[in-house]
Amino acid sequence: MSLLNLDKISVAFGGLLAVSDFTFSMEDRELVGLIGPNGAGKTTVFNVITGYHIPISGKVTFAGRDITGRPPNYIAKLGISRTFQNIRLFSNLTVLENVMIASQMHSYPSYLHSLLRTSYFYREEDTIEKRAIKALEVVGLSKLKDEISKNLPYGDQRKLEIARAIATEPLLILLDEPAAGMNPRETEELIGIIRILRDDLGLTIFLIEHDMHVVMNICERIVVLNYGEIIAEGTPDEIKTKPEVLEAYLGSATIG
Amino acid sequence: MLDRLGKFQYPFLIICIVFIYGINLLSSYINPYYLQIIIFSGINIILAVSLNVINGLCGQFSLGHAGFMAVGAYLSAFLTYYYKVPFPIALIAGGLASGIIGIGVGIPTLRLRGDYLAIATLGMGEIIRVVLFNLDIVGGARGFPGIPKYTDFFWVYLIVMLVLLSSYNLLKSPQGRAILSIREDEIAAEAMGVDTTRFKIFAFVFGSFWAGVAGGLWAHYLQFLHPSSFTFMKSVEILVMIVLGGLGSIGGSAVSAVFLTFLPEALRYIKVIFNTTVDPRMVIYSLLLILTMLLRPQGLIGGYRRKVRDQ
Amino acid sequence: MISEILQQLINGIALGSIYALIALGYTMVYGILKLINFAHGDVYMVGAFAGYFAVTSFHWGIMPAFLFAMVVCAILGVSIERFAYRPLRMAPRIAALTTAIGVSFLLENLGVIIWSPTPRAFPQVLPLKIYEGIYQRFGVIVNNRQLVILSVSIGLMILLQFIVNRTKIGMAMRAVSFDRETAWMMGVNIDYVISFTFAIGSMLAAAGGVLVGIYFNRIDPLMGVMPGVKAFVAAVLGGIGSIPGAMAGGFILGIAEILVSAFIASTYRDAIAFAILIIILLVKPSGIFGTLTREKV
Repeated sequence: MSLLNLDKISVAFGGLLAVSDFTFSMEDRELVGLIGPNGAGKTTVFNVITGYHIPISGKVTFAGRDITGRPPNYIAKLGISRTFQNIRLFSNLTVLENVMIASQMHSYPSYLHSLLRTSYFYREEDTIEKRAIKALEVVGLSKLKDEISKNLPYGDQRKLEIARAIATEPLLILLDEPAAGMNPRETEELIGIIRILRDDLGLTIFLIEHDMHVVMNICERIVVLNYGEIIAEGTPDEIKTKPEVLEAYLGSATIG
Repeated sequence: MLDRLGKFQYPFLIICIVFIYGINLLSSYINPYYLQIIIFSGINIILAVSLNVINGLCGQFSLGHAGFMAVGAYLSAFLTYYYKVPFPIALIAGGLASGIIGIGVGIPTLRLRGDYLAIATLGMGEIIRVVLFNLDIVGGARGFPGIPKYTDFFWVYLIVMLVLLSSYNLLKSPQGRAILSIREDEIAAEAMGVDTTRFKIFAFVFGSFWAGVAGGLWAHYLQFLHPSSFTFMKSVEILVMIVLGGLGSIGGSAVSAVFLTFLPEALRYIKVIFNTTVDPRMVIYSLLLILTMLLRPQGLIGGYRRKVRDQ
Repeated sequence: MISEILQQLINGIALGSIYALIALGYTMVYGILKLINFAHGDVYMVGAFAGYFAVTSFHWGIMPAFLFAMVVCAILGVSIERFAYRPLRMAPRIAALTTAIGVSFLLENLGVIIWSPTPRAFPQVLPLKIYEGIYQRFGVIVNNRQLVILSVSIGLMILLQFIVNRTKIGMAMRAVSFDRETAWMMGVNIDYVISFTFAIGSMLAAAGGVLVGIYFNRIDPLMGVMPGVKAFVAAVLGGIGSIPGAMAGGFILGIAEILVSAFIASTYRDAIAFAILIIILLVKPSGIFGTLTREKV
């Protein structure tokens, strides 16, 4: 049984069909890439999976459960986490606080405990903070934990988003253009981080990316989207040579 | 600040209560004029901090706080006047009623964006006022006189302590962080598992509960209630306090609440000196609002900054 | 009974056109800046006072008084934008909203200090004339003031529609409210367009103020508070950002208010506006003519 299953998903905005008949599945611990020209509908697919858009038809199943149209926080609690194409950090909070909001997802002492400051509360706070710091260590940001997140350099902000996403201890993580705007060194670091996510943390990863160097390097399987439809699917080597893919990308990206 | 006490919160609270009680015993020796200002300062601290939880911490721009205050004021007065209910119970009942109204305001406004939310809450505050205006059992347009004077220094500052303590404890907790995340980026908060609906409603309930209690304190000090005390202007007065003190800064709102309670009295002296009948208070308020937003939007006193957990 | 309803309808339409004039200013500013200009209702008040002083102190006639009020308010509106809103154009919306509240209060309380809160009687520039003929035929009282209000309002609205839809500056206004950044990149002078929008909105509000002075005969520094909020409700009702919406919303609100006040209870007169507001925000926040814009995830 696959971990994630999208069955004939179609999404419409007003009269415009952004995604049509998207059928796709992912197995546990796979690393799959989703590529396509700008506006192809990639982020829309992510948004459907994570509950931000309700599809007009089709079903999304995760770990055997039908999650179509469920609210984002419910889906997050089931074990799907994500980063955003345009960085969405909690800007005025510190790096550590950003991650703690995610790491606390599985440990909410009740209001009474919080207000009355019981020892249970302190134990939970400790757990939450430790979990957060571990996530920061994966991406190498633990030294900056008390920095205000909006003051971080761009590359670190992207890493922070990833740390935050893994702090919810998800089964599946959706990364939306994590390498966008990164220089070559940062991109190599990112590739390393993604490998750690898959190999050490056992995460299943679905990745949207324009940087072909990243995609070709780490993805086991690639899905190509254009105008909301899947036009090709296969290993990086297979995709590289498919004429439909080259045509869709003509003039917009370099492959290899 | 207060949260740094950690496990010492309880002893600290007890010491404070004893201290407040002691001062209360001496209160008859304090000049009644100053005592009044001190009492109003306390009530304003409660109002400011409670509004700050909704506006500053949760980022929901609520402009109807006077309505919550009114509900608590009228209900508690109604209970003590007609049914001789003991004061603490009347206060709590007033707070609970306001809290329920808070749910009533919070739920429909969940989907609304910033400015729409502001107007909706303004509208709800006004509806509450108009309803009270037409409710003859609590005096309606003629007002509600003869409320027993139960409020004193002890009650006011006991509740100030409770509000400050609970707000700080809330802030530095998972719930507090969740509330802040809603302010910062609601969409990302949802993706991280935060049930934004529940927390927004909680923020409204928390804020409205304490506003209701403040209303009860107010009613049992002035001994008279009239709906015209709870207009949009009143909501704006409280808004000025939290803007000045820094949206999201609990300590800041407390300080500016005190400052803005003393300020009109100080201005009274100006009137005497210049021998005018003009009351420049609201003009100064509005200038303060404008200048603060233009020059130092994070507030004159506090700011967004606070630490993540107890030391 | 019919004549009673008809009578109130006429009163409602007169009131509604005032709301529409003020609502237009709100909707245009919101469309272009995404800001609720809380101070707009007080610009309307200043317009009424400007007209008042034009007639009483300068002894001008009704037309010059109108023009004077409109010019004064245009200057006022543009200044408010320039000094209070423009510095905050990139700031979070709450900051601009708070400032707007501050400006509104400032105007109201300055008005109270300078002009005293006692209401003043607007001079009788337009002697009251009731159309007997209509009264005989339909049993309703229609006076010349109502006709003036209606004709001036509609005239101004037609003029506004012309400006917005048929002139270059109007096109610029529409472009800026649609996508400010792109309009700027296309060479539109954003500051100028925004100032122009404030100027026009304020002029309409001023006209409303003078008309109210003529019709209801009394003005006071706090007269803008309620109509301001209600006109905003009207703008939301019609779809904030939509000019036809503001007009429709204004008339609907005016008629609803008068009908409720006359046939249900006059004490709930003010509440009807808020009730409509809550209902609209719950049912269709984009209003009658509005379209909902979603935040991109």
